[in-house]
Amino acid sequence: MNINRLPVKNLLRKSGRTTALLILVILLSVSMMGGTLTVTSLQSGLASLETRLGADIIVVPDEAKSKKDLESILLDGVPGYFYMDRANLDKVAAREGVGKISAQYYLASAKAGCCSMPVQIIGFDPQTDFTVTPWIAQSYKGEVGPREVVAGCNINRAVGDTITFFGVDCNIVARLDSTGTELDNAVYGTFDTIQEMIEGSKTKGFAYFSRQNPENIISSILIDVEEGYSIEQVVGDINVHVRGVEATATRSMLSGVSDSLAGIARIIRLLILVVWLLMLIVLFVAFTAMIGERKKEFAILRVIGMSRGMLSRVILAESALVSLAGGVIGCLFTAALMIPFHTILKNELGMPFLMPGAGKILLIAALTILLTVVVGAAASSYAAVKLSKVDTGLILKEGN
Amino acid sequence: MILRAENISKKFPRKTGEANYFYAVNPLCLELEAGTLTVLVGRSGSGKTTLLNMLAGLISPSEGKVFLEDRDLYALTDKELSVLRNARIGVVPQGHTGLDSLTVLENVKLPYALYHKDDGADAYAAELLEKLDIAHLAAAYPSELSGGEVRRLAIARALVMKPDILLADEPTGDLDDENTETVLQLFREIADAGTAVLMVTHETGAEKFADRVCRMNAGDLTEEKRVSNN
Repeated sequence: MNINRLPVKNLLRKSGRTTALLILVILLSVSMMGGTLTVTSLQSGLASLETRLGADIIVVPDEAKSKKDLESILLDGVPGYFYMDRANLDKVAAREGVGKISAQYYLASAKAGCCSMPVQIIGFDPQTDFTVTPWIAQSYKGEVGPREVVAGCNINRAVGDTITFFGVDCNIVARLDSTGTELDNAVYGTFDTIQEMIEGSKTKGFAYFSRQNPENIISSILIDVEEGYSIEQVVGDINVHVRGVEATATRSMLSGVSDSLAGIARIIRLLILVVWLLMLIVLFVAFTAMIGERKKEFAILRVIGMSRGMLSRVILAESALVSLAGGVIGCLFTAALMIPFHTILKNELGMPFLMPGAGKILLIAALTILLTVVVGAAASSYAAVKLSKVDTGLILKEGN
Repeated sequence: MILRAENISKKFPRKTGEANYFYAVNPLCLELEAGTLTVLVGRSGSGKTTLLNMLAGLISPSEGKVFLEDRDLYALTDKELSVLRNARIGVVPQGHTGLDSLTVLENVKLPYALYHKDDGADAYAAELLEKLDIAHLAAAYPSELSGGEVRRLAIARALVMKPDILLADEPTGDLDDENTETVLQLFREIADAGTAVLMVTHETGAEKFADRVCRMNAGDLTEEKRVSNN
């Protein structure tokens, strides 16, 4: 007989009581870890989108539809396109406060036989690009050449595969790391490749390029503001002095998403708090009731010479074991549900959603488990302290 | 003298009525001597159990002191009192007192396991189970036992530490005549071996095993007789 095994024996022998407490703790840890993972993923998604846009200002053609299309491309994953004269690039570059500047092409592939799949194709200029290139560099060290493309992580093709757009066969040289945004659904290539595709689309009879010379058009201009200038100042200057374009601060373009995301995160946090408060009350009631129901058992332990300290340790060990087991099971259950199926959650929320890495998930799980153990210990300690204030003999008399 | 109660009393708050408390045990003195079996009789509610619990260090008296030799029980810390009770005072409480998550044998060995890592009590625990005729139930759990078997488990558990004092509250309550005789005989043997035994009982046959019979009546203690079994 080893006294250290008493808590385990108590838990195993009273399996119904233990299971009920375990279920409560599992619910607690699922709500905690699930909610925290969701909020963290939403925040990481937005941060990732900001990073991946990588520019302070985006300039698009001055048509209401262009800005809407850009937002659809970036936030909703709807392939789109819009174009403006390439001369705008030089006009914008000449404005004061404009630091790095680079143009991009947007091209939407078709479902028809000319293309492998309908996706957003984004063309960048490797000479000036400062947004896509650093991202590509994370997974591909070489240069992206003509008829070579880099696939977003959601594109269902492997490195080395050939992918066809408007009759142009392109080799996939790399796959990008996940951003948790719609940019994961795009394919990236250099201007040369994109222009070849535009030519191809004309040959295939796609009307929207028929009147445009691909060498003279671009879709958007990305700008990094020079140090010493404010983004708003440069945006205003471009909008006043360059006709036919509209400059927007990236952050303000994302502010709608950011606001919705903050709203969702607030609701989730509130729900976590409410669930936790409820669970806390339920756990306190459950532990108090459990200890109340067992007070004669504890009195007998006191009768045979167990001190208050030893008895508290037995009660604490029991609650710690239940809380630990419940916390671990809850976290494993949440991870097993959220990690493989986070795409469903992302689609349902319609927001940038980037699951944290394994290290951060483990940290969230560890904190969740710690918190459940602390709550369990606090609840049982409260009940144990209440019990210890009553004379053992009175409990024995009461129980008879 | 081993255990000495000096003017101890116990009053409880009253829920209704004019007075705001009542005395369950009026101020009294009592000495328990080594090698003596004292039987405490009295009507239900006369204060027997409260007195026994005060002697065991389980209910603090409202007034007075309880000394084990020269140590005032209620001046000790909880840890000191617990260790002392574990080593020197065996208590058989009333009613079903089996710990349901432990087997009969584990229940009996538990007092030793509280402060010892070795299996020093195994042989004596087995011997007690034999003496109390529950050895065949060693692996059973209390929920599988009859009331009488659980009472005998509690007696074995109270005796496993070979205490200097045994305080038993109606230890033969659920027992048949044969087992009652066995238990009373065992208590006599233990007293003869030097233990101070106090047994609260309604069992009329207990007096023939006793050295001394005391009576509680409405919180007052009187000694009825001293008998010699020698």
